[in-house]
Amino acid sequence: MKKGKKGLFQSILLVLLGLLVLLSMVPFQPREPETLEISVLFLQRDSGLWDNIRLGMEQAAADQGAELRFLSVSYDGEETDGAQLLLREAADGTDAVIIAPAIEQELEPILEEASANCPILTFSQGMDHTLLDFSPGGEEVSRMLINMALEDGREGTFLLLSESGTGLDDQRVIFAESYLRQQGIEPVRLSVRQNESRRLARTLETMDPDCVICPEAGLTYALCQHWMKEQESAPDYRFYGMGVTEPAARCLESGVIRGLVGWSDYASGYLICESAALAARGKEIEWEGELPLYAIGKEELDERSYQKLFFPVLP
Amino acid sequence: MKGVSEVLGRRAESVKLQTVIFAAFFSAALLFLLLLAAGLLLRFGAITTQLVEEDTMRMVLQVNHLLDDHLREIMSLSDTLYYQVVKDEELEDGERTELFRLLCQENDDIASGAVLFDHQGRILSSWPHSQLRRNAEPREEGWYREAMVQPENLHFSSPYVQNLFDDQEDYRWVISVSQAVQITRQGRTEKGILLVDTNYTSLRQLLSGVELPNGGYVYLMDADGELISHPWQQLIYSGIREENHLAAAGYADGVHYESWQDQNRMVVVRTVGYTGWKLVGVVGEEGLGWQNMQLLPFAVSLLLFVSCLLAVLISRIAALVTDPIRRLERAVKQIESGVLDLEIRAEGSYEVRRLSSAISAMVATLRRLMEDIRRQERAKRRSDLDVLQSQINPHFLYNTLDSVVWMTEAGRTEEAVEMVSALAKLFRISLSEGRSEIPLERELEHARNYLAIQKIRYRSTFSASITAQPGTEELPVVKLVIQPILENALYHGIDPMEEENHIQVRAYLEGEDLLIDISDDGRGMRPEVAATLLDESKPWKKSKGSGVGVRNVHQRLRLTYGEGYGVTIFSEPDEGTLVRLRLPARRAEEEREEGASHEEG
Repeated sequence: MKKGKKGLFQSILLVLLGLLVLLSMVPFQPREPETLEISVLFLQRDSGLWDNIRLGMEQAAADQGAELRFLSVSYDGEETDGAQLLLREAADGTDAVIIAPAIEQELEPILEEASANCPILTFSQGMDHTLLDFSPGGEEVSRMLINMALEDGREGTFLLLSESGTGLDDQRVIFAESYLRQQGIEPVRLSVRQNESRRLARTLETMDPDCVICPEAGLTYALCQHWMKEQESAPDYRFYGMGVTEPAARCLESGVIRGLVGWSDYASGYLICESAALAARGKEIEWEGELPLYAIGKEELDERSYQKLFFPVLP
Repeated sequence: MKGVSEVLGRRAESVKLQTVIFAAFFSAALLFLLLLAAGLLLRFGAITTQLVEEDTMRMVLQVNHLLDDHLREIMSLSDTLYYQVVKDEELEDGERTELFRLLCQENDDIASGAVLFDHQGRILSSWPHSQLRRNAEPREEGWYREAMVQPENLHFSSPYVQNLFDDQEDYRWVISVSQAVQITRQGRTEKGILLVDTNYTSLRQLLSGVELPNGGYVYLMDADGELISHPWQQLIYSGIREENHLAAAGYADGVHYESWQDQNRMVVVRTVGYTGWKLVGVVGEEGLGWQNMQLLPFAVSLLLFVSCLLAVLISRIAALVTDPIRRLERAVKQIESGVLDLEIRAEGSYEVRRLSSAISAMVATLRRLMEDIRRQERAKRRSDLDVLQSQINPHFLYNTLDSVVWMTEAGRTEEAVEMVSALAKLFRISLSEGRSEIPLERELEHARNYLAIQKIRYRSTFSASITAQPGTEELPVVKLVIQPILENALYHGIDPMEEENHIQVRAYLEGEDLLIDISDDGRGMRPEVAATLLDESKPWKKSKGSGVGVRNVHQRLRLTYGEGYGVTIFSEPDEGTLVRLRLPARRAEEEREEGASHEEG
């Protein structure tokens, strides 16, 4: 009886192990992760500003097996339809949403509601209910811009330019104002709308400042684009802006503006998209810290290391 | 330490043979299996690695060929521009520019523009750009300087953003190919530099589709380790990813293994002709088969399966070998405990069967010897008892003869003759030609003769009767078994002078047994005293008719016929004594047959 039980046990064990061997011979194909849908909300007027960010996002989407849906938010001069789009995307089951800096402030009140359905990621620091903050703080941007301007000269009127309605840039301007005062300079503030770049250029000419500091990328982009289009209207004041875009680089190269502060848009696009995909899959977001900021003058533009950062190699 | 070795030694002594065989064979088989598996795995790994090396090298060589063709086309274009356009003395600058356009447009897959500079860095002919950027200084560019320093060669720059011209629409990445040229203008020959901006995108596209086996990739760098094309080039530029290209720049052509970011990987390096660029193929650890996720579960499960199969088979083989030995061991234990009539089966291997046969033979011999010893012992004892029994008490003989003398003197010749005649018969039956058994009839006659002598001698008035159930007369009985009982009855049981005393001898059958009852109605005795008469542990009382004769008869019967036979005494004080002899009722023929079969055995 005992021998019979032992024999039965041995036979069962051998059969099980034999099945295990057969099972291990079946070709193992790791399961492809499901393709994710990531929605990117950005202002339509900023599309040129987004070229390099978009390249980085597309590379990350390819690496992470995600599909990107760029949704342009329209702006009628007063408000955008971003809130409506964000809620719709969240409700429709998109896997993650990335929000452009220009509409972050406007969408902040509904971020909590939208983030209940999917991860929401923003570029800027200090936003509630978002998963990733890797942009440098407004203080650092302002400080670098002012330091560049002060190196070129301390005389004359310093004008701080900000876009009305974007709380983020307000923060930067408030800090810049305070920092300039610390340096013994009393600045003038001007808050404008970005879609009026031609009028703004004229306004600036009328105000006749000696130095204009603009810590907002969209506004810098719009002004530079205007100046490149109408070269005769190039300013006779020193202009320091935010964001290394092609019009801005051209203006810097041609001496229309004096300096730029920027980071690698490609890297920021890649990181935010990669983080969105990881968050959508419930994985831990690996990136910690901030992307480095660079202060770029005309000379730096020809340096190979800066070229690598600000003019992405097309894949 | 010594204690441990002693414990181990003791445990080893108690380990079963089957366990020892199983452990030895299984260990050896498992060791062999593991060595074989390790050897195969190593060999498989080496072959896989070799195959991956060969595949990667083949792929890198193919890409190298494509790249070589691409570069040759660029060089060919540059040479065409130089020898067919720049060297043509009859061409004006504007005509050269037009030819530059034509040639570049025709080769727009490899070139995005061409410029001819004079020795002061001024543009002589250019397409598509016509004007240098303000403050641009071509002579400070690396490609210009290199061409000036080594005018005999074509120079390939590393990728950079072309930012030299004023009328550029975008910041385009290019690789510049430059060479020093001789320009003849207005009858004067001067040195110049011909620059061809290659189409960097087409070069990247050439490499972007290349995928090495097992997830490997290919990248291109210049001799200084500056990346020219990499699948994650922009990520590396942005600092999000890293590549070990600076170390790879120092590698010679061939296969190298390196550890990078906690991962072992294979790097295949091939220098691209003329440019000094290096084409690098990288295959990660997972692609080398060192951690083959397919092979490892298969190898482990197969090893487990084969190990278990071996364990089962070896266990069965060990049992096959040891089971006969274990049965033999059990048999030997039984023999040790005195069981000799057991059958030992000869089975198992040749040696075990031989051992079984030898033990069987030994047991048989032992059994026979013991039987012989027992028989001899029994025979000796019976012989001793027979001798003892057959010895006529000298007192009895003296007294009888004295009685005969006395009766003869007294003229009682008839009684004397009767007594002598009875004595003679008594002796004849006692001798019985040396046989130990005699027919019952003769034994009873012996008893009658004894009683007759005693009656004459004592002038007794006791009565005696001797009867036998018909059919029992011829049954053989051990001789001289009744007379000692009668002697006891006469000396201790009755008073021979009493007329009323009676002695009765009665032989009858009871089942398979013959019973001979010798009873008297004399004094009798207490049952406990009667029981001591046959108890061999009790000492004999040396007195006349003290019961020695009874015990002697009892032992002789048991020796002759076995434990179930012998004497039984029934007695009560003042009621008399009954001594019962129990013997097997066997015929003489049966006895003879039995004796013959014993002898044959």
